[in-house]
Amino acid sequence: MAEGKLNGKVVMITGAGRGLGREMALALAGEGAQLALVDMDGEELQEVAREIADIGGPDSVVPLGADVSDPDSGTTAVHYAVENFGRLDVLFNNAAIGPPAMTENPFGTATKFWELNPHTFICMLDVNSAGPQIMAGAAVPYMLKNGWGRVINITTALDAMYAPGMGAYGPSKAALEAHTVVMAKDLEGTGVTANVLIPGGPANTRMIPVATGIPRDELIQPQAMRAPAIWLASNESDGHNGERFIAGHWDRGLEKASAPCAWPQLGQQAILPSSIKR
Amino acid sequence: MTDRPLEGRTVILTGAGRGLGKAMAEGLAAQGAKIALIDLDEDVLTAAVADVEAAGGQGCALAVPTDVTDKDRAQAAIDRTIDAFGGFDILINDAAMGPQFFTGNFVEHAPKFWEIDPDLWHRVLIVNAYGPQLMASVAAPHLVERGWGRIVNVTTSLDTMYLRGCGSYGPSKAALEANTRIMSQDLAETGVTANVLIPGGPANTRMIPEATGFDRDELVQPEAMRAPICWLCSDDADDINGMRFIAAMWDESLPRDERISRAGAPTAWAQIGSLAQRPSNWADTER
Repeated sequence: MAEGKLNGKVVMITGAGRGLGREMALALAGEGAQLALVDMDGEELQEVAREIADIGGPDSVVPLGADVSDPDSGTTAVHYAVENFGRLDVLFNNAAIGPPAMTENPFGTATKFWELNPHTFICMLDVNSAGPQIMAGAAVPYMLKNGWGRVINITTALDAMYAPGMGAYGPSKAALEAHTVVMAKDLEGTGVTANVLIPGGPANTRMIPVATGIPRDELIQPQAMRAPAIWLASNESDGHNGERFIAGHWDRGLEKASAPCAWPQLGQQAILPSSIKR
Repeated sequence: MTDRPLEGRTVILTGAGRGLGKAMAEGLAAQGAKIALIDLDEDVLTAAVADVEAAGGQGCALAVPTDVTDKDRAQAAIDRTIDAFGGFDILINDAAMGPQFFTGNFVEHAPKFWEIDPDLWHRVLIVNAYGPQLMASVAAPHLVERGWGRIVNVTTSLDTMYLRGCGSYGPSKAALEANTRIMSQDLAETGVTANVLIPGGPANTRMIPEATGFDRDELVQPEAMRAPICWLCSDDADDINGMRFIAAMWDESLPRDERISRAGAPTAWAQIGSLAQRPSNWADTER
């Protein structure tokens, strides 16, 4: 097993078969974490699991083929991970259906909202918004028992949430962003925290197809996720709750790379009866 | 004509059986609009039709029981409206499952997110975020073809989107808010607009159960929605697209510009800006 900041920590990453998920898994394994890898795609998952085993040894990783949008499947994966490792400390909700499900070139001629396939729209909400709720709902009770834990939700840039042409992608991430604030409030004072981590712009993964014509080296590289993912999964981030962290700004220091979750900068909005305080 | 400025306009209004939906329907009918009232609950809808006709006159309202998450039924509801009224001009997406489905009293008994039934969390997300998308996608081609139209989505206050204890209610409205901004961009230059209208605080409807203990008089009254929805549906709002309006802040006595700047803002959280890095050839569209 690798020696590092995450020795003794068990981390679950969804969407671990490639892209940002794979990169974070490799980084965390390098710091000594044990990993439960979740993905729909068995073959890619096995490949990443082999890479992790090379870093941390065969007992440091378990690949779990599961659908995070299916309560039975997602919950079973969480329970299995706990059975296998005896605990669960960190959950990265990274699995998502990206813009290519709607359009080959999200930055080209945008598909109008009335041209979208309704089924794909629903699948995006299922996987991107409801999936993290299912996984966190199953995982957090184990973390609460230990008095320490992390839920880290991968959303997107605030303005990408209303970018046209990507169907429910942006709206589904807006829902997850708002839900992360709810999670953080519910977890206040428990030792478990909920935060958002985003690349901070389009990333060099299959979510940004080659057809976009964007030079790949101008995209955020998945490797940018490594340092903030390690920090968030470690004890060093104790006390940070309900924040969003931007991997692309990580080198500029914590203050510049972080903001509150969602959009509280816009202030109190609702006119409330005098008997309610939030 | 001046007292019935919406004469000749037809509205499809979801969630019209009670609460904000019914209040808006009555207000629009009183200004001369014809209304297709959509709701799940047939009995409630029948009663609402009577109230709306009392406000707007015999034959101005049509009950169309529909599940807004069912593709075939959504299309059938649109078709039936066109059959009955010869077309339609306005879609108001008001139907939603409220916080009361998660707790009778979100103030004192806020369930933690890990205690919530995943199927309920999912159902509310689909009704509130997908329902409006489905209705708007079925309605938009008709409106675009006619070259004039309105889509108005009812979301919630920006900070209610992350109010604890309400399950997926807030997140589902964040999704709809973002999607409204997408709709408004897709509809630019078509003569059809997409905007958000919210009450501006907890409203005196069944979404805020009596058990919350609020003084009902301190809640936003459903009737507050009438003046801003009638204005949004009028020709005077032709240039208003991608905005959100707070009914409780709407003051009809103010001049137009002051009225708009007091109660209006861009949809979503556009004022915060990007915070993202962009590749150099990123299309510089309005985002």
